[in-house]
Amino acid sequence: MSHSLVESSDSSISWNNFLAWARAENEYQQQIAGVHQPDHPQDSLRGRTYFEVNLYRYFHALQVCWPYLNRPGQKIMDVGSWPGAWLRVIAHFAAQHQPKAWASGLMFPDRFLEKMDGACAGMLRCELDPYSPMRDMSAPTTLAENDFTFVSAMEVVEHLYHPRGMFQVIHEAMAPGGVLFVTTNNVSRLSNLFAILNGGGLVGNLEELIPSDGGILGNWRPHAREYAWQEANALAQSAGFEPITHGFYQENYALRLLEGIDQPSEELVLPRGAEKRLARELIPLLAEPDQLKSGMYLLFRKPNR
Amino acid sequence: MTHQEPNETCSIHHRHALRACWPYLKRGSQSILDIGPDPLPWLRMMERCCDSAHKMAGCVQNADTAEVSESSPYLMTAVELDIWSPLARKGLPAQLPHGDYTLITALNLIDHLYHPEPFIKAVAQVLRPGGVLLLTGANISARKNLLALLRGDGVAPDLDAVVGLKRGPRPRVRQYSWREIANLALSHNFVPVRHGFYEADDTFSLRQHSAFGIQHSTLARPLPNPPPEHRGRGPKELPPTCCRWLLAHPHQLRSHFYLLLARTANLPGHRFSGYMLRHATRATLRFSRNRIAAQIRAMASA
Repeated sequence: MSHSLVESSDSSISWNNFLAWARAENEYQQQIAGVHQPDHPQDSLRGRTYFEVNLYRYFHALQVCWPYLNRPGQKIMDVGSWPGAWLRVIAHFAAQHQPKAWASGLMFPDRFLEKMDGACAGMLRCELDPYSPMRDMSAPTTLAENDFTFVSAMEVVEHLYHPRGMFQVIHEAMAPGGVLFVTTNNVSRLSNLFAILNGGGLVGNLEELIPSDGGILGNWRPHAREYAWQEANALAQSAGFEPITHGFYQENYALRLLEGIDQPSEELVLPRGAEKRLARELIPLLAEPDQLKSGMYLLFRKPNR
Repeated sequence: MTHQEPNETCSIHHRHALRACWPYLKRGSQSILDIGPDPLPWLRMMERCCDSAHKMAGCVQNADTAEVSESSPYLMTAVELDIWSPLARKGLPAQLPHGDYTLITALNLIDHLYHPEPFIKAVAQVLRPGGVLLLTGANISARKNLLALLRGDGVAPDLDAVVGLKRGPRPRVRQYSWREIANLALSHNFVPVRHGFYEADDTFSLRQHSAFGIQHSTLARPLPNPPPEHRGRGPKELPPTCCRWLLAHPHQLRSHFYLLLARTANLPGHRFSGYMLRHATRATLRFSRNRIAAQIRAMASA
């Protein structure tokens, strides 16, 4: 992805078009999903919705997936749907094709379907990480619906101990020729390389990865592991998927995009002098020029055979 | 330890482990416990190299078999400290045998555990205050990992092997920095004493499992990694000066680290060592201080 994604004139849905809808949607999201607490440790999240702080990620996903969403007869499943914003994006922008979309995962707030206001056809409760110490032992490990033509799993894979099982479950539930869209944090992003060179590691939250002190199984799960695109690609391929494409993008996380205070950018963010210096040294070595960016996406197809 | 690394590299790990804990081995009679898939070679080496008569014992963890050799000259016990692992053996004790140990070693074990917390907790229960824990493990900031990340490959090559493993040694689950392990150990009354890095052949990856003749039910075919069109892209080696200015330790790109942790008394204030102050980043310091402050508050309210 490049900077031109925001400005592209041949893009089906422009940034301004998306932004206009997102401003109204954010008010709705405040009602149905609430906002981050006023005492949230991260200042930039306080009083803001999950949708708002991840706004650019939704726009980016819509751009990448548009060729597969902009067609009739789609049966869609979104994995890890909470708070349902992505389903609402699809329902709005692909409304002319009247897609049927299901939500799957474990976290569904009360009256979820009602709150989705027609954007979600049903909920599929499923434990996709049965080898996690925090697994929900009461949840089924298979999906109750199948023949999906498009499946999205945005920011899910990094929360799983063993994502291979998720790819297999999704593969079984998809129709031949169906498309899987995955986004996740990029393990080879600049901040991670900076951290490990500086003596840190890639798992700063070890103590959160087990149900310590009699913690509740099946509760919200932190990041278990971040992946490189080749790892995610290998996992999906071993479950039977064929790769279509992959790429890297800047997540523009928590920027003030709705108010217009910040502008989205696909440029690599170099916040500190040392990181900037490191990036200058590493960029000529990279296998792909965008590989230091914070997020990545992958598109797969279930073969027709 | 021997089964988790190819046999030919054992001596390298032993040599560095011996050097790391030599000051403690020279202190006269110690009560030593080694934890690993096969503690015997390492215990023998320590006995051979030390003049003093130490009391030694072994705990078999992560072994291919839970059977303990009865012919061993040392007291051997089978344990299962990796309680969250899908490979955890049922019926084995999840605690170490009580022995009031002064030195506990676990060579190349911690990175093969599903989660290291139960292991650290079990060691804290049997290590005497003032006693020392020696850990070695694969280093996340090793040169080969950096190169893999720059190529778009990852640092979790054995990811799949944990699930569906029917026999054979347990694969590596995760690689850490010494600081991550030290941070975890802080919660269990350990303070870091010393750390360092060394180079050892580290060829025991998922791809080697098949070379060892080990079957995985999940590996019906080789991983298509990397895809053909991406083969050969990215760096083969780091340029000589690249990134060196950023390294927290001059040897940090080496393949393995060792870490010596001392067990303190059960006082939260003791957990924040001068060593940590010298080596921690700002983020680590803030993290540790907050945690200690929270523990003190909890103790006060209790």
